[in-house]
Amino acid sequence: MSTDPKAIPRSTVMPLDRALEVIDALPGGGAVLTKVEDVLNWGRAASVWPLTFGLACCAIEMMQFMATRFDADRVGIIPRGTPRQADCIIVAGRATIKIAPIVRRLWEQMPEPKYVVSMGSCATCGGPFYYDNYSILKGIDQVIPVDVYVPGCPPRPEALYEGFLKLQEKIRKEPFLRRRIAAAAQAGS
Amino acid sequence: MALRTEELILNMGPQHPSTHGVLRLIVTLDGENIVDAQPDIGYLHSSVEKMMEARTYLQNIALVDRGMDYLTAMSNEEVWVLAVERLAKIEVPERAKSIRTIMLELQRISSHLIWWGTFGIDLGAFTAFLWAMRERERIMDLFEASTGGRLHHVYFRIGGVNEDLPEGWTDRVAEFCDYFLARLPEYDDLITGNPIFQARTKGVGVLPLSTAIAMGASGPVARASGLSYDVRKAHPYEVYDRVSFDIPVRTAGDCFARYEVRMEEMRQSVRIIRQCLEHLPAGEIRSKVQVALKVPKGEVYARTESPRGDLGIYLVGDGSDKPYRVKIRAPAFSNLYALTEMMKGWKVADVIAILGSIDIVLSDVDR
Amino acid sequence: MSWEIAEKLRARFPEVELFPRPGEGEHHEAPPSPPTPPAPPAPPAPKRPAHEAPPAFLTPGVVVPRERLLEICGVLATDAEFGLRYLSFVSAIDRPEAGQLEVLYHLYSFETKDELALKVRVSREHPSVPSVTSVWDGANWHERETYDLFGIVFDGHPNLRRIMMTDDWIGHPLRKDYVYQDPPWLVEAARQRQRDIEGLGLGERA
Ligand code: SF4
Repeated sequence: MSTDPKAIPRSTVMPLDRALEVIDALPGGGAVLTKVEDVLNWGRAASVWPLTFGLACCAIEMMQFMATRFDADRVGIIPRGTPRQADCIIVAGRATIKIAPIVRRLWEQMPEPKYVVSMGSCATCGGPFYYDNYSILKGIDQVIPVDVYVPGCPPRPEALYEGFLKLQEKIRKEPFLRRRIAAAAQAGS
Repeated sequence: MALRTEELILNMGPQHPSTHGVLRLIVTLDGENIVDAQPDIGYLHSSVEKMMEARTYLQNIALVDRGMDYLTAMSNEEVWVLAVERLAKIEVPERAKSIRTIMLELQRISSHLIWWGTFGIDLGAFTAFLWAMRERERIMDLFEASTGGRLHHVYFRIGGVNEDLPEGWTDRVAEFCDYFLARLPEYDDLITGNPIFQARTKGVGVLPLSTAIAMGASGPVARASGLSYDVRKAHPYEVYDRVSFDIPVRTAGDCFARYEVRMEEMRQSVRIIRQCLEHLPAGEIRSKVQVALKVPKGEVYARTESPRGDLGIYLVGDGSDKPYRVKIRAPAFSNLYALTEMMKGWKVADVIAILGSIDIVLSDVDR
Repeated sequence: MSWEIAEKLRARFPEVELFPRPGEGEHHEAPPSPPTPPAPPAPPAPKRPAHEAPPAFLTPGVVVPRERLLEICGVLATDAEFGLRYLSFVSAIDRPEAGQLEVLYHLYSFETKDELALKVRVSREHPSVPSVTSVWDGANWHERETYDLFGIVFDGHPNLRRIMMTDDWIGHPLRKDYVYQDPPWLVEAARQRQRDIEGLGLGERA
């Protein structure tokens, strides 16, 4: 991570990132930044809006997860129908080779920061469709990066809950701002 | 005076909140009118037929659960074990037959509930979805208690079922039947009688009877067009020849007729379950069948009535412990083909209503 | 489930060939249901393991010569004597040892509840049969599927394209000798992903 603010050309750096950069360089600034980051992450973790991408059987359990009894709303998980509004994509079910480019495109259409939850054995590794098969992708991580794998065939809604709690844990620990500075620095250099 | 207008091609899916999975629809529009609607399928083609050739007859039970219509796993198990039992000439004990029938009908209710809920969402009623899922959870609990699985049960076996029913299970089912019958009038209040709902479904997407037959439509879609045909009546399997139930038939052939048929089917399912519970025989639940069952050479076509229609399996055995070839006749595949005919001439806003009313499951279409 | 309809068809078209009937040289008792027509009393066959028994065709069916298919289908679908108005499916069975593909049709009549399987034998090298879409409209997608998975060309089909696999797919997967290979773009994409995640620690991602 670059610590010399002058090394970053002005024209390419957003003002916010520049301010952060300066704060980080001040004595004790790092700690302040970390605190700010904690607050931001707390907010982000509490409102993960997934893009529902129901592919196969697992999608039914995902629906159940969002409906009565399991009620994902209460931990801030609200399903979205379009990738532009989503933070996270749940790949629920087996992906075929025919749909793999579309999964990739949807993932690319989501704004950063974005996360991927791979739900079910099929999305994780091909699962029951691994052998003697000619059309199923053997693991969605061949085309997009995955953050949380939820095993099961299908995973129970509780298991998906667990997966999301893990994702929230991950978001809370993330050096979100520092990563943005690094990205800005890289874009500038 | 006819105004010359340009045609517009609208692409829906494969990722679309209302296509019930990964269906892609290519709709050609003239203004707001649909000129042509071509489904593009195959996004969930999971090579089930190929995989079945490489698995033993027993292993295939687990595969048909997942590879075929996943909303009704036990209907798939049923048609598979039925085909094998016919070819291998295996008898099923009476108790197992009754248990299977109860399971199949519970499965039919749960499948229709999902359809009802998602159809509600498609037409803008989110409450329907929440209510349907609430009832479905109860069925899931019943399944979990008896089969151990929520969605994929692997419960049927060649020559019977895997395990006997747990204690008190039949009472719980009876209780559920009472509970569920009391909910149905609420559904009618919420959706069926709703003027907006009626305006969007009545007279929309008409499929005439002759077209329905020519296009190979079956199940509720064909029955809503006036075809009085149900495999459970025409070629009874399990105990369907000993229970009394009606086949709801409508002649309008529109979305509302298809809706009514399914709502009535749920009532009839409850009726069948109650009769089965009343006459549940005691005794064996499985006849003796080897694990590595060798099925004689031959060919057979077995058919059942799945919640989506005429579900069949053409099984070719070659005398080994694995099938030589399995052809799955999927009802949703033909029903979806009939969609091309239903859509023509309607407005673009009706696409979702018509698509929702034929109740497809992409895993059944593509297999 | 009666073989009458198959016999009626043979009476009309002598060149069709019936499937071997069940009950001939079997060592099992015929099941009570489905009821099979009374077979000529066969001499008691010696007990043999199940997989050596002659094939049992439990669904009535006929093998039709390729040239007469359209004509026969037209009669089956429209003639009141048969009334098989409903086509359940079209598919195929691969028989590499015989060098043949069997195209399989299943027909049904709502009035008499009769069913009939129809088979046409074609060579594996250049398989083609006339399309029956003019008789049953519903055959359209089924024939496309059979073309996609078996490579059988249906002459006169309005829109014979792949339906399940992508248009650029190579080979016909349901044939017995098909060997699966990842398409090149997928191999490349997976390799690219491998390069992306190289050197990353646990929990980090590209
Ligand atoms: S993991 Fe199991 S439940 Fe999920 S999509 Fe695959 S087969 Fe279906």
